[in-house]
Amino acid sequence: MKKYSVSDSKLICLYREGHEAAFEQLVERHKAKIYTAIYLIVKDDGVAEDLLQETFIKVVNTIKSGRYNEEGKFLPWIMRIAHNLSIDYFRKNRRYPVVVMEDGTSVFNTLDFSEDSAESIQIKKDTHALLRQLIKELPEAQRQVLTMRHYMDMSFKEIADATGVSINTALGRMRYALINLRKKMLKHNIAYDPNIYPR
Amino acid sequence: MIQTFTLDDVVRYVYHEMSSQEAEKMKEALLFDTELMDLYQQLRSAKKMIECNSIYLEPSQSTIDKVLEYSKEYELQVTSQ
Repeated sequence: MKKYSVSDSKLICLYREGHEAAFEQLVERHKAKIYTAIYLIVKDDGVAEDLLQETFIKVVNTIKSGRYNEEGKFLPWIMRIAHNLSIDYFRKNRRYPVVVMEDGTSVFNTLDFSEDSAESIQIKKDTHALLRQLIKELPEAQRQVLTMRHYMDMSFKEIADATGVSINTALGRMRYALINLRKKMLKHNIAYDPNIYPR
Repeated sequence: MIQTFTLDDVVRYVYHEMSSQEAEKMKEALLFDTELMDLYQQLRSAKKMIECNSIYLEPSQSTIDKVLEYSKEYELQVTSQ
């Protein structure tokens, strides 16, 4: 998990005091993580954008009206909001959304691919998109735990609390998620090179 | 004596959610329990594959601008209601 020089709770304090720049920093810090988590649930970029906006609006309303509870951590809290909104979206629509195929063009602009060849950039993009596709194919309960652990940096205790299950259930779901995903990844020849990615 | 661990404990070990003492005991248990070791290798390899291939998606700047604008205008909205 990333460590920042100014903590989230400090930024929230500053934001409460009226420093909009502190909120801007919070948004900048967490937007990609929250957006990716929402996207992996709703599987549609337009809907994910709307839900991200709605998530942050709830955050603004809660903090500015003095209802934010400082006891909890900011990221798990906002992730719970995002998760609940995504699940509500499903309930309202009463259907599983159409799987969107990705071209990846606009979403990889934060990466520095400058030293890679065009071919290797394309391979990376394809692999990242395929991985997201495989995650989306997991059973919902498994996908939820995996997404929260990997994309939201939540501990298993936090995941268990957020989803209303025991830690053992969360751990069990994660175990099956990893085993299933590994099978899928091997089938699609997604691997990692230990020489490039040392322990 | 070697401590008995469950399959879910292996998940906690892979994600570093164990105390250092417990992790030491797990290391030892893995050497003697082939089922645990097999699971450990599978989980670790899957975790690495995700970490090496994961990437965060970026929302559009217009969405972020709307959020920041909403925050700036919050007081105005509340007082005008």
